[in-house]
Amino acid sequence: MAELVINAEVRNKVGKGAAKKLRAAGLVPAVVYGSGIVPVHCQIKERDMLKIKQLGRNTLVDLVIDGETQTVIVRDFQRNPITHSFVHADFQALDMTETITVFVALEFVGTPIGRKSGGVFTSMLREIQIEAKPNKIPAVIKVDISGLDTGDSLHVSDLKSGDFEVLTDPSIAICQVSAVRAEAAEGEGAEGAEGAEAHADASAEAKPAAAKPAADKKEEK
Amino acid sequence: MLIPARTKYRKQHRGRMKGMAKGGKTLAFGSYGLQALDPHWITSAQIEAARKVITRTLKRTGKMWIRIFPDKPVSKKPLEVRMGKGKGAPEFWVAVVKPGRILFEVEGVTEEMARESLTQAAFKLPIKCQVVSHND
Repeated sequence: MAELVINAEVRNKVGKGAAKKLRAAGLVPAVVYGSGIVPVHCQIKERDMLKIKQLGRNTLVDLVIDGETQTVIVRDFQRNPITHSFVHADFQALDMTETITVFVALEFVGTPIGRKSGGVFTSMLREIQIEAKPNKIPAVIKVDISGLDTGDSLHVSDLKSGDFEVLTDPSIAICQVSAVRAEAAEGEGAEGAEGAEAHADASAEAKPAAAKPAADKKEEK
Repeated sequence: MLIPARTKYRKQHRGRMKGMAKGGKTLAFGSYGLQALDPHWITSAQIEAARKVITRTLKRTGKMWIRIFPDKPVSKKPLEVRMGKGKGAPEFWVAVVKPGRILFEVEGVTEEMARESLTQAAFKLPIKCQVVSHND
């Protein structure tokens, strides 16, 4: 049923020092929890976490801990912001008959019409929250953006829900195609839209003396 | 150049730059970003120079965001002045940047173009940087 089988070992030592040693050895400290089971601290190989990442965050995994197999999903994970290596992972044990709440990535398909006329496509939302049974969770939700013209936007309410219920606020915008601002086109060639703003600031005065604090006089006294 | 519109106090202590960035470590707006790998004060002039390079290399396509703001005044004593007699006058503004901080973000352009523009921007900064993408 699960797409991936991963071996894990129970770890008896918890805490900062023990976790650091694990990471140095190419392992990732993890925890498995869920309704009806006792939480278990375990460790898995980092390359197994990379496999899960490649297949998708919501991949169902058969986690084998001390001979016992448990179907789990990655509930949360932490990564080092610079090296992107895994720091910790949370696995949630699944009851296949009950729905769960997960975040699913959005995949934008097609090229917006507005792009031909110089519009810039911007995505505001990369994933949405849905509620579904574990075996009905989609890997990605495809969003067709080919019909978007300059000034158009898509909202969560425009998404077609399949075997799942969308929990994200329907009024939130997913993406838009915006026109490049006029200043950018007229500016002195290299300067962008922000350039105009920044120059306005600069013309005020370049030195910090420009930012005269209201409380200055009080401070000087 | 970026400077605060008004401040409560004219001068600040220098402070320390220990550890990693506490926030602003993930991409919030764009698909690609420039991430700091060292701690440093980034002046408003350096931010402006990097911004110009990005807008120039994007060639009016795409969008960019500046994720740092120089809100710390740096004071300096005039040349050939004896020590003492109080703290110098504010000279310029800096943003305190720690490793992991996202400095700029780019959206609406190809990966190749985004990487090129952010790499060029990194040359204008006094620290080592890396380009990150939302797929990392």
